[in-house]
Amino acid sequence: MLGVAGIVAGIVFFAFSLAPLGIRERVSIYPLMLWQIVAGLALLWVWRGWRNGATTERDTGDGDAGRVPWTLLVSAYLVPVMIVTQFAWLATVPVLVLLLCTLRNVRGRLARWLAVLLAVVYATPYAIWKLRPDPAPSLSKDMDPVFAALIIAASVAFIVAIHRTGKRSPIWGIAPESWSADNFADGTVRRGSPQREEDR
Amino acid sequence: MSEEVVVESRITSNRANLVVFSAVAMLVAGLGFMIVEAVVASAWTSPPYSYVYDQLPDLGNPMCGPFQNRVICSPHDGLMNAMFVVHGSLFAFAGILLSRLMAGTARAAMFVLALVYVIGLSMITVFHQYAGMPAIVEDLNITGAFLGILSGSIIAIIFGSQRRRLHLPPWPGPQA
Repeated sequence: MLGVAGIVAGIVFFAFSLAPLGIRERVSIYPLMLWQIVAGLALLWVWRGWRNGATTERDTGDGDAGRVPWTLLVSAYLVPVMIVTQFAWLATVPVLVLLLCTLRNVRGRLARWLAVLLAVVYATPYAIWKLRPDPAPSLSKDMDPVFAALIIAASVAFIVAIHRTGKRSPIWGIAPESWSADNFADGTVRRGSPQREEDR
Repeated sequence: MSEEVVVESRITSNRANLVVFSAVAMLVAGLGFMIVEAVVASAWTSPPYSYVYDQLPDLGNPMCGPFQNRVICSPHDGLMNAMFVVHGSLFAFAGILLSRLMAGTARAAMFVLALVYVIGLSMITVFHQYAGMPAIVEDLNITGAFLGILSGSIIAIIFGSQRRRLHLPPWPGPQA
């Protein structure tokens, strides 16, 4: 999937060869920059697993897969706060983290759709700001209040959705037994597990 | 502790270091570029910088004046040029570190392309477009941009193809 982003960047670059120069460049460069950020986050995820003692590819190094990731909760609350406090452009980071974390971890359909909705509602004024011939100095100043209200409404709806759904049933990805068990199918054993201690 | 466990632990530790350094380098490279670009573009006010008609290397162009139906005059060209080099160096650093986790053709390709990426971006900072420039300067500017975009995109493809070797998470979708 991550590699496909690179292919798309290249294909779109040539497909938009008739577009204005600025558009042409950005259509090829911005996906690459976003890919770097996403790939960096993915590598941090891998490092976190290894640091916690993961020994196989599918092991997250995290026994409590049902726990809500704090990054998702912080991001969800940061989005409306940053919009209200006029840091709309910097809100790109929590919006991206929220979207990626939700699509990866959350099983609740409502929460997943709300995360996508929030990303789309946020991306619209962002695109308008970037494409406008005479843009305001900042996204916060350029953004129509209606969009700001829509972003806040969508993020509040998302926060309510994850909390409500979480009370009814586990919406977080429940890892297969092999993920959190100390013993793995290939014979490796989680570091620090009772069995490994016995082996020593 | 058995020797096997010690060796495994050392390998995991080395890999973890490679991964975390490359992750931080990639994040700083991507986020830093986007932030500096926005800062430099917002400071460009006469006339305002256009994301549609003005080119990205224009932000680092030290010349001031009309060129090909647009007016180039970046107030912080030095900052943008520095960011081009820093961004390219960080991404190349990450690519070289990641190549150590790969094997065979992918490893060699990742290493070479990471170097090509930083060379391409450096060419953009050295060869700027301006009215009356020699044809070779324009060619080198375009070549640098082409090398940067092409090598960066191929690196993304290699990275994706090495997903299992790099132990990347399944993507996208819930874990269950």
